[in-house]
Amino acid sequence: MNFKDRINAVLHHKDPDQVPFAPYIECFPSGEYERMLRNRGMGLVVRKPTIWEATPDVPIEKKVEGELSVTIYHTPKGDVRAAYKQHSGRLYIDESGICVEGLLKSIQDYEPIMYMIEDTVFHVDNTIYMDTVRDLGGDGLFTEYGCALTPYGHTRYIFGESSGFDTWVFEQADHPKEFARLFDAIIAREERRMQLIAESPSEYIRFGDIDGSWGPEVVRRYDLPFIKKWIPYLQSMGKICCVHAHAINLVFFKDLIGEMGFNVVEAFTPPPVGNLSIRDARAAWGKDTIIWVNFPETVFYQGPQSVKKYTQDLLESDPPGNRLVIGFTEMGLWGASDSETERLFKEGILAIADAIDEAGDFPSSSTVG
Amino acid sequence: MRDILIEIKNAIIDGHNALVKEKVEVALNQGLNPADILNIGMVEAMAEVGRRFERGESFVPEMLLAARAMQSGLVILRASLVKADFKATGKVAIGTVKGDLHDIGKNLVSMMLEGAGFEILDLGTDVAPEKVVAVVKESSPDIVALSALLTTTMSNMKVTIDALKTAGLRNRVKVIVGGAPVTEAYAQQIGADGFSLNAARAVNVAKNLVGEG
Repeated sequence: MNFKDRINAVLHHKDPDQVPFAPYIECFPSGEYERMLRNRGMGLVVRKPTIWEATPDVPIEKKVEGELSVTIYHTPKGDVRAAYKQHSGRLYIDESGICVEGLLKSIQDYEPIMYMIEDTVFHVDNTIYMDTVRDLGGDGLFTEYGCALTPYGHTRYIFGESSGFDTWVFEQADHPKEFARLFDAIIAREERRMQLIAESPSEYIRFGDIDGSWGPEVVRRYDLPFIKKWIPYLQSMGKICCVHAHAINLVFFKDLIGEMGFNVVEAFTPPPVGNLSIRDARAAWGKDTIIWVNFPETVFYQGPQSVKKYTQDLLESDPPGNRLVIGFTEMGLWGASDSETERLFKEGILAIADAIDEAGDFPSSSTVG
Repeated sequence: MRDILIEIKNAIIDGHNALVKEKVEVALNQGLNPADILNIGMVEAMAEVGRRFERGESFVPEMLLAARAMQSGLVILRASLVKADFKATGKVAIGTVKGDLHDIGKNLVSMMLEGAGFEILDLGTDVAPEKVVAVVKESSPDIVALSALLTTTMSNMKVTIDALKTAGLRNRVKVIVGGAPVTEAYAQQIGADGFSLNAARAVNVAKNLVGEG
């Protein structure tokens, strides 16, 4: 099987020849190391939106302030601004950088932001999907990234990315009415987006995340009704729906994830970093849920032999191995800027490939044995 | 426990900012010992928030709201504590390591430690080892607390510990580490004195290291 056949076998509930090794492409610098891994069977997982948003009645101004790139939105209700830090080495090297100052910082910002949300129009370009799928051929998988956040998750990111969490929390407590209006406006916008996602040619849909910072009851209150409405609909349209569950405290979310009805639980980070084992997750979610592991890179610091043993144990913990994917969804080599870390990570990733070669064939040896 | 201390404790746990201020003022007006207000009303509240976090009954937002409520009480209480010559549990210099801009975990640990009576020197994010060395030289903290969210920046915890060794300062300060990807095994591997799985546990780790546990 080539990589595409292998990952599609897992996603479509058939049997692969081997557990797929499927990291996001941004977790690896393209070049000879990536080629070496691809020769070992690693696939390319490309996440792109086929839908993007624009606010036609909001002029945008961009400027540079020191090391920050600043975007100012001039709305009829007032101006709001966001700031992004750029040039952080291999990390955040995309055009925008990492958001260090979110749009919403005080109560005055609600009205302009509400205007922007209501002014939002969506543009669809299905050629992004078709071109990427054609370019990847048998080597990769296209992930629709146009609805990566749930409505409540969107409220969080309006306040920033690496910062703004505390303001987001305090605003909910201090200005609940304004926050509720903001949330309702986002819901209305996201309903429009989801219909477009349902009609898109993309098959594999990343939809929302489990961050772990806020609790399962909050997710139940804010996002579960939206999820329960849209996931069955998307599935009825032939979509395979995935939640990005990168929380390290998934034990507390185990039941909630079971209720959500996703086909794939991605970014699943097992112990020693996360607190939910694959075995316990499988017992909770059943044999058909696809568990897509985010390899806990902390193990790399113990050296390649430990990585290999760890991976073998991981593979053997989920027999028969036909609903399991091994990948990197958070870091990989992204951000490894010193030579020692890079060496450890590269050796570790090769050790994962070795372990999959030796213990990743379907059915797993633990079943056969 | 006096009713007013229970009220302060509950108001902090529930994150009622304004109510905590009001109740601390009432407690002071009733002539309560400021140290009792702090230790019995406030520190115990944060400890309870920590226990709930451990059990998965509270999450980061609840901790942040409680910490903010505690801070608002401390503002009222601080002058009385100074008058009473109240001593901090210890001094902690805390920061997110070089290359890492994330601050939620670091801020939570700061708040929990402050809530437990520690004096905090917040070094911010993306903190270079040289800066940690300079702070240890100048401010003599009891503990340096290092945070990392990224697996690729956690190696800078070791670089920082090595910089303290090179500067001849390693024996003058305890180093604790934490953050999503950090494990106890890694903490031991790099020679840290302590590791905490989360902000709630950091208090006990720090207290043990300064002999208050």
